[in-house]
Amino acid sequence: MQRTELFRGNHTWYVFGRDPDKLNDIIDTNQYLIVDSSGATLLDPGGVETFSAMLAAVATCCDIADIRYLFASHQDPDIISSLGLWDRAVPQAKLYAPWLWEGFIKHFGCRQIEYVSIPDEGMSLPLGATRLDFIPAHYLHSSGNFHVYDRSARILMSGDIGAALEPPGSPMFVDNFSEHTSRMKLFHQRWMPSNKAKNDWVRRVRELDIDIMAPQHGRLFRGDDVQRFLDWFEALEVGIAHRGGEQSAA
Amino acid sequence: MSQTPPHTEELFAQTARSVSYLEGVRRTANEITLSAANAKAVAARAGSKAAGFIPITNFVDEMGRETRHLVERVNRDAQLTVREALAELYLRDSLERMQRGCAGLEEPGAHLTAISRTMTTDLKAASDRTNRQLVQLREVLSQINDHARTASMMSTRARVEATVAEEYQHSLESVADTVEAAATRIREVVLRCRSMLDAANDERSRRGLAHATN
Repeated sequence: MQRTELFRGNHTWYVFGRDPDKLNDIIDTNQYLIVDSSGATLLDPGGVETFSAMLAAVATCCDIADIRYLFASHQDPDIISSLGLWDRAVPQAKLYAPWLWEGFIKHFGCRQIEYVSIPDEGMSLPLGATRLDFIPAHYLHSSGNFHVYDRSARILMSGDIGAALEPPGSPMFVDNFSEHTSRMKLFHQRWMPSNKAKNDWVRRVRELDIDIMAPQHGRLFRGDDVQRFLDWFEALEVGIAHRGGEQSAA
Repeated sequence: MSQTPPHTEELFAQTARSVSYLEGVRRTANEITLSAANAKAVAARAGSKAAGFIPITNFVDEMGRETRHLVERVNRDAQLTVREALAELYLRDSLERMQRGCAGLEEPGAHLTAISRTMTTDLKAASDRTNRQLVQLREVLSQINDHARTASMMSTRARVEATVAEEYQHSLESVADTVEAAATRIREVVLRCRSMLDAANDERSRRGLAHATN
């Protein structure tokens, strides 16, 4: 599992991904870890198949016993199907996840970890000297969906927004935005169901100060590429499915 | 990558399969009860000509009810065994994933070592629960088998009694045949379930994952 440090200050951000031992037929995912003086927080810890590699990778950054919080942006298996295993490894931790999915996510196994429901309007989680804001991103793509914004690190963990379907071993950051759009287009058109939700999200995210936009699949955006992404996404028609050769817009 | 041992999966699969087979035994037990009711009616019409037949039908009737009751119990036990085997399977898979993660570290640390130890203990307990459940399941299967064997014997006795029932002989022999056929079917299913479970469990025992259930 590749580890990349994204930010170092009063706290540290890491991204894990590009696991060389991953099964070929499962989608590659980015997992995020924030380590601060009070403990550690795992964002979208990943699926059951990535657990072993993640456990080993996270243990190189902090003591596993120090993991206090988990966050799940939504209910998908590649996001949180490892929950039953983390429930064993860090029974004292709390899971922050959308209220909408509580009864569903618990199917992955959540006997000891406390499930903290995030209300639709979002909430904040104080974290040592900083705080994480859980930003609503409903219908992008899940009907109960949140992103994580860290104002002091200026990082937005954007879940499936900005995701790209790429071959194994691709770089961690976008290096040529125009070229990269071809890897994102189909994903966003098909997975994102609502133009209204998309445009509302773009409007709100434009107000944030962001250095790095960090999706759950594919490459991360930094610097000007963040604004380029927002412009591209705003102009993109989403909610398009192909049926019998015809296009229909949601 | 999942490294779940096939022998545990096999036990889970075979037990789940036996649940569906045993559902057929319930239907057959119903047939025995119906035959007994039918035989009672014939015997009542036959009066003194079938006097020796009445205690047999009463016995078969009672045995049919007991078999149905046992089949319900064995179904519950089989479903519990499936659940326990699945819990064991899940724990074993979790422990393997945890150990694989730890293997990637130079020093797993006290926390992960303690977690692995707890999981190993839990797995042992889950395995013991599966074994206990299997023992119970086999006991109930044996009881059903005994009932079916007795039904077989009673059908032979019924045929003897039928010979003195004059014009009712044919009807009573037909009842005896139905009971005999039902008992044979039950014994076949029980035998098949037992050999499936034994084969799957022998494999677990061979690999030191289970205690012998005999």
